[in-house]
Amino acid sequence: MDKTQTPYADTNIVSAQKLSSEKQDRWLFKDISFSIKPGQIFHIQGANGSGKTTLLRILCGLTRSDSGQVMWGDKPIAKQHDQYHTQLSYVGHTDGIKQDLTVEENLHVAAVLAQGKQQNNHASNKLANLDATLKQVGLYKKKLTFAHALSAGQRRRLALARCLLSDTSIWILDEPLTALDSQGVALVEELLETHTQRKGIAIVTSHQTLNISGAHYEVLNLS
Amino acid sequence: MNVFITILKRDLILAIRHRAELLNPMLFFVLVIVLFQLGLRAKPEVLVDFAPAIVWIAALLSALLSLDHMFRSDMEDGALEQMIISTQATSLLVLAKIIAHWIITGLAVSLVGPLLGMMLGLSFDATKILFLTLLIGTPVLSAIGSIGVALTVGLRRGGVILSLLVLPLFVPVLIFASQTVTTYIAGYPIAASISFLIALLVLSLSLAPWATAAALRVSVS
Repeated sequence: MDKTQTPYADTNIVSAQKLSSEKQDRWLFKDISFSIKPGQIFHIQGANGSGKTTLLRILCGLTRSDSGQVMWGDKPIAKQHDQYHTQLSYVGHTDGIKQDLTVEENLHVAAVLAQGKQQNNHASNKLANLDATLKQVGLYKKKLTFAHALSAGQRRRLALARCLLSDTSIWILDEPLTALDSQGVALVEELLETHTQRKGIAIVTSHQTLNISGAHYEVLNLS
Repeated sequence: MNVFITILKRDLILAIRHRAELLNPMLFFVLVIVLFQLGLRAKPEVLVDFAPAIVWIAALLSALLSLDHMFRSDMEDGALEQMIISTQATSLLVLAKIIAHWIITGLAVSLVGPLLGMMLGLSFDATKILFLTLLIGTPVLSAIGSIGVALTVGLRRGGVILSLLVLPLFVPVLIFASQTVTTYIAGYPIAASISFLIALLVLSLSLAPWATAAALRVSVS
């Protein structure tokens, strides 16, 4: 099975319609609209505090926007949270890694939480994919290490492993390149490349530029 | 079901690896009761009258002390967000966390409580009833408490509000549970108050997960 070649089964356009968000009587952003097609990388840039993370959280459906809505396909995500979340992986600022669990335990919990995220035929071998995923992100040798003993970059890799494991078509990554070494950056770029080749959508914030060949690449600057 | 067991196991493993947090409420529970006895210096027959209430108040306070941990660390490291955007029902994950919290705090209190009750002069039969009320009543504390924690976990200092929010809801459990033991000691039938406690248990365990899940969604945003 070479799933790296097969396109995701359920890809769809993610679009924002006149999104606005206000924080402490100040507009972070107002009336922004965009649409992201399958196979596209959407890079959100902006100065610190310009609302990048807030925008990502709104796109995840975690935070509500003060006006406007996020659409997935032709329906707003608020009306189809469950279906939308089956296709969504989010690596946030806080990465959701438990310090007192080992790398393997962390990933196991993530795998169980993601059950049902992909097409059901993959669901059963997901746990078996654990080792393969760890090898892919270069953490296989750290399998039994506690997460608190990992370096910041290794933790980032572990968080990214979650996206691979759940095989979802929409990746929302908040600063995925922070703390990664050059190999790590190359890894993220490679993963994003395969992801877009499979017609996945990636929404990324980063201060660095991403070097991805062949992908449809769009930049939104919030500041 | 797989998810329920995974989250339950995860929380228990985390609790075991964090022994200080595990022991703190337990130690508090034991100390409060011991100090009560030292402070009261009452005649044994007077102490027996107070015993059920003392044990139950200590159980209540130690539950309150441990509640904040239920979602705090998951909130801080982002694990809660991952649970909410997972495809699993949040209420089922919450139920697993409530049960885990009960095993860590309530079950331990239920096992030690009767021994401390005996120390306060309760008869063996009365301690059995005390054990029963603790076993039925402490899960209610975890369940009701989870709603309060979920509502306050997004606040920087939610501790005081949590107590104000949750303590009034704990009162029925306190009244019925300690009443059951006193009624038993006085020689009256206790079926009615035990039934009421069970009703509280069923009600809170079936409704709290939904309320908590909804509150968590608000707290996370």
